Amino acid sequence: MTNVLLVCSGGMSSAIVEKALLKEAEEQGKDINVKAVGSGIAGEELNNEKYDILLVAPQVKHMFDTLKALADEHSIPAKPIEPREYSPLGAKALLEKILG
Amino acid sequence: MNNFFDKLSAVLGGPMAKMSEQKHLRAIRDGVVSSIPFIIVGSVFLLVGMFPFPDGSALALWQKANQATILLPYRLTFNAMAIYVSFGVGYHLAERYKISAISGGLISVCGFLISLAPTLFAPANIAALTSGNADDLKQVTAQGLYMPISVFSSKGIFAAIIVALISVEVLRLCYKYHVTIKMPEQVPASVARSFEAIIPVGIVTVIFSCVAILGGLNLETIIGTLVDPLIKVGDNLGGGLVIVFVNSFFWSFGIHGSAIMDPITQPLWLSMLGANTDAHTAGQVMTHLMPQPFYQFFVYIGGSGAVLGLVIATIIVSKSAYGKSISKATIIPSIFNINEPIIFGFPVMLNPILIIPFILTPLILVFISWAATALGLVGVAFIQPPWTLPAPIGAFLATGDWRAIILSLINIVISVFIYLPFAKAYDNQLLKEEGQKAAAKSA
Repeated sequence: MTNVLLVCSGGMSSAIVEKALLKEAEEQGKDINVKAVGSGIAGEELNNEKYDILLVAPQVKHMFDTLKALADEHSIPAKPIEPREYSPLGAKALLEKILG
Repeated sequence: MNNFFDKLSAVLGGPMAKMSEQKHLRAIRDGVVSSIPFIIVGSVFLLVGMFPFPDGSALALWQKANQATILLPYRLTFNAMAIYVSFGVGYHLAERYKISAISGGLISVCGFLISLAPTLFAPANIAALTSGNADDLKQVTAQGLYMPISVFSSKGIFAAIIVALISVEVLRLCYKYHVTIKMPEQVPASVARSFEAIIPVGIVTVIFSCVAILGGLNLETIIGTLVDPLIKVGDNLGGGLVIVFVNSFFWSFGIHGSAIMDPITQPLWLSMLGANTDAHTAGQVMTHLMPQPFYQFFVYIGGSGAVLGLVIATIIVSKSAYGKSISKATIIPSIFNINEPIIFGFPVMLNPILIIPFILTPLILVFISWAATALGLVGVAFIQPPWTLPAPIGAFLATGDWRAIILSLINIVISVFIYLPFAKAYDNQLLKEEGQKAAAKSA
């Protein structure tokens, strides 16, 4: 089981990506758990739950350094999501990024 | 072309985006945003209390008889926004500094409440106390000292922000230089933390007591006067066009434009909206034509860039496989104003064809909507519905005016027409690429 934390601005658009990602994982028979949150509460979320990877949505890439610092505190990797991966049609590439 | 965008992004987009990550600016944004649920819930009561029921109907009579009672929850949520903003900004700034966030929130509320002291001696209260009218006197004294709740409204929001920033700085400096009361190690952490805050709370209390009680300075009025020019700039057609342009500009690089501008625009819009509701509940004319719901439901239909128009246009014209599938996949999120799947999926960002209408459409819609509102063809927004509502519904709820639905629909049609030629051009490009790929495969 891979626990993924998806961070965007308000947690709305990442919820769409979350859904696409879970569907893709199910089709491939991969076991992942995804939670989508807004950047304001990412730190709180990392303190409360154990995650394996933090993914940063492209529209908040200017916050990547701040968010990576949070991920570093919990010794987990942080990766930016490429634009094309951040749409309902990009779930396959994104899943590869998580599991790869 | 891409090279040009890369350069522009590196020179302008990057540094400005970084700036919005500055601790205080981010705390203002996150703090104000954390007060939005209270604004929305208060809006529901406001809507019930002010809804334009047909004259003489049972509902209208019930509303009239009970209006003050119906509006009370609104007055203590939406119209007390400054308290929530004060806590939110203080909490988030302390969190950024990695010091006790709860202490940061509480110390900010403390500083804000004390800074309101001069309103205790507001002329109206003094008049009531000295009028010799027994009823007036009873009303003021029966509840102990009297504080008009209107000071918690949008009028106090900027003071609340400034006081929160100062209070948390005091807290931070006290922690940094160990000006705190240390407890023995056996004491539980939560107890020790509350003792640590004693000295900073004392300092904040003394500072704002000196300013407000001894000095008699009314921070709400002073800071209100200082930010007044900012409100004036943001509250007219020119300001609206600039706000919309900057927003589209950032999104063109795939950066969340509204999040970048939120530290400035959110407090501004909230204070305009609050001023409108104040005027409306008092039966006066609303003067701020462009608070946040104006942009949300008349301009950013489908999200920044009015991209619902792009999705519909693409559904109409697309012949390419990708255009067909991406427009179908994004139409539902777009109806609920979530535009990231479109910005990154089509993509719009760094796309020389689509960026043109992406910047143009919101500018045109701002102009049309501003004109319609200024001419009185559509009601002024005074309610904050959730931003994920489909635009025509949100527009109706925000204004309580059915004509807002029509304007919203007209704007959708206009945006479709602006996007159409560009969607067609982009689809042709996609078709060509798909043809080349197919050719390469068969070759």
